[in-house]
Amino acid sequence: MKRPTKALSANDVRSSAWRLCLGSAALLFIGAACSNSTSYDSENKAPAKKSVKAAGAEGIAGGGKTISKGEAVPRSDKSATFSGEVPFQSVASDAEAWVVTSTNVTRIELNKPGWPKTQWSLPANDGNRTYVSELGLLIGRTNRGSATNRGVWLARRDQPGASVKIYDPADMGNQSRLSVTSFKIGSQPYIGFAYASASGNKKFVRMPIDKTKPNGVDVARKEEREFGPVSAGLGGFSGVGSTGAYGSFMDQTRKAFYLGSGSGAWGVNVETMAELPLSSLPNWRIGGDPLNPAAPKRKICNFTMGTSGSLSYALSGDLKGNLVASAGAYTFAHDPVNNVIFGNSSSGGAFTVAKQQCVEANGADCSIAADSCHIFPNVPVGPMSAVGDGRVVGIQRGSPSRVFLISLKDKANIKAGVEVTSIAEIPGDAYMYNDFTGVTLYAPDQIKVIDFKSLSGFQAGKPVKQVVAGWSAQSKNREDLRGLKLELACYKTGKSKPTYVDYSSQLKNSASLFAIDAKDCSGDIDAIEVKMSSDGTTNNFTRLSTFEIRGAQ
Amino acid sequence: MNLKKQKKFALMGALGLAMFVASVIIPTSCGSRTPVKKPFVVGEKVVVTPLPEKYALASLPADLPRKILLTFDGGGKQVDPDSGALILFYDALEGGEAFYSIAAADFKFIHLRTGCASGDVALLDNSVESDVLICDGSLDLNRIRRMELVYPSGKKKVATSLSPEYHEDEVMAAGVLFR
Repeated sequence: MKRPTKALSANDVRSSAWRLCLGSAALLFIGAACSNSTSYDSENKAPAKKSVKAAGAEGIAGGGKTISKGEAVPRSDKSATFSGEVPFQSVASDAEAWVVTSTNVTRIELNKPGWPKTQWSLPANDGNRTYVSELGLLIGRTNRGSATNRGVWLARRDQPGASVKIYDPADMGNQSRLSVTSFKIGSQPYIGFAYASASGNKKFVRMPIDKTKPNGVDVARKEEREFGPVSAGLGGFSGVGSTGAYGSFMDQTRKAFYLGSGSGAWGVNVETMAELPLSSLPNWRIGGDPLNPAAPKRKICNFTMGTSGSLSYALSGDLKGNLVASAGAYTFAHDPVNNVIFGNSSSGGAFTVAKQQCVEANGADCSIAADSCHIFPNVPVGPMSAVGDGRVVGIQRGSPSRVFLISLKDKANIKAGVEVTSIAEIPGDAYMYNDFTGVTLYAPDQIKVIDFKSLSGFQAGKPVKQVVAGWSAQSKNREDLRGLKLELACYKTGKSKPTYVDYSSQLKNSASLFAIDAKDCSGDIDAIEVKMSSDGTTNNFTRLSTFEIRGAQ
Repeated sequence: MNLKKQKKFALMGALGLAMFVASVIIPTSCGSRTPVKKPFVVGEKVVVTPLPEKYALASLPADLPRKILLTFDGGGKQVDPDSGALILFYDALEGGEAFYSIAAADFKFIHLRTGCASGDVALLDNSVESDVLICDGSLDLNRIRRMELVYPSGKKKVATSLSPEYHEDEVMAAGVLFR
């Protein structure tokens, strides 16, 4: 049987069955020759085999034949192969947690051995609200009567040392909390923040992110809007009290920013800058219907869920835009990988894990008996934030503050237990609230050029026959591509770059490699540009870790 | 081999045996520990298992908190504080004398008793009247094997298990269903 001597296209293969076999074998050869990048399941350390998807009879667009990488193929082909894996995160950074005390900020890298830390200083002040932005950690600091340490601060990711003050709201009310966020309107990223004004009103401010400006924010293009009294609710919400909101959550898909204290909440659309009523929440009725006081509230193990009135200490929501709050709760966090909600009690003793469906509008009460939620004693955390890869970070406040990584022991079975790993002790009290991991941040546009000359085995000047691409998730488990658009463009350095081709539907899971159509990526080329952006449909997007290229010449 | 050498070997053998026993015992006891009763060491990883759906009263864990919020359910209905009912606590599954009792009428008032000064008490102000917070230490949870709900008519219902609903460092809530 004759071996393929040129790259396979969909038309070539479609023409006859035996050529499909050849194409498959050639691609399998590429895979077998470059078997050094097998990923591992984080739970059981078993190899998570990648399969190679050929540009087979159904063609690139329809999904080709999937070939198991495990199948043995003789290596008698004379083709040269090249391969490599490069970091390629769909989030602002690789997995990280930011911990804020009264005088410092600590960034902990969660995927590196020993969990290395980087620190920034802050002028002394308690009470911090956090949000991870493209620029670094935004910190909203309480007004304790001094203009020098209140307002909006930034621990710049690219500039460890001292945190910088971005903005001081002159009209910030005494003792007011300040909650921060970041979002995109169209392609323009913003920072936003809300607080109680000196006149006792709710106030929301936004400023564009512009990396050419000092500290990356164009303060001169500030837009602001003042709403009614903080103590008064809107459309079913109850008021948050004179000091404003203690916690917040950002729904990037609906551009909705909700802020709450233990006594109530309010919301603002960050795009239109209009105040949002309670009914803007997809699951607002699970907290009882304010128009019908007899309406039952959803019960989830030890929690009675609320959307107004008595709420969690630090407000939070899931990645589907549902508000997740309960009287007697400290806060909640949604893990999108296993689709579970982690919650803890106000005193930090009871830790509850529930299926996400428990907080959906069409869900039902959840209980231990139904195996839809379970309570874990003595997991001692207060502030919590999901990493987006199956883990949540929990912080035990105190001095020192202790930082834990928490995950399900068996991702398919809540009852099997939770694994709690101590990863850091930080001097001082981590008086801060979520989000401090970036899990609710939008997917920033990412463009990365992968120069084939930097890959192992590439021979400059020799034509490329075939390129195969794939990606891996931060969770290290098999994941489907969610909420992201992946576009590719192959080209020769120094020559004009062709337009991007959307390969999202082909690169649809982390377990498969996909052969890029020869018409898009073969011949005299030496680079591929990978573009990743949000598909705009959800904030529950896959956290990518790396992008992988294999090729034959 | 002289006596001195024999003693030396015997000592070494004993030491070896002790080290072997220690190597078997220490990992076993470490593995069964639940977290957080002591500070974690950075890098330490533990697996925490969930509370069971029900505790048999005969097997309540020894580390239950001394403050407990009990919600009494009299066969599908909350126990009416004005029913004149009495809750009796026994340390045997059958027979014996109650070692603790509380009148249902006290449910209304016990929330605000001194000694319940934690933040959780404030939440209890909104709770239904058939909740009772027992936080004065007068009820030894570990002695409970059976509870009886006795109405003035003499009608009696029995519970031999409780369902944990809320568990904190200081207060545990549990539902008790009398059948």
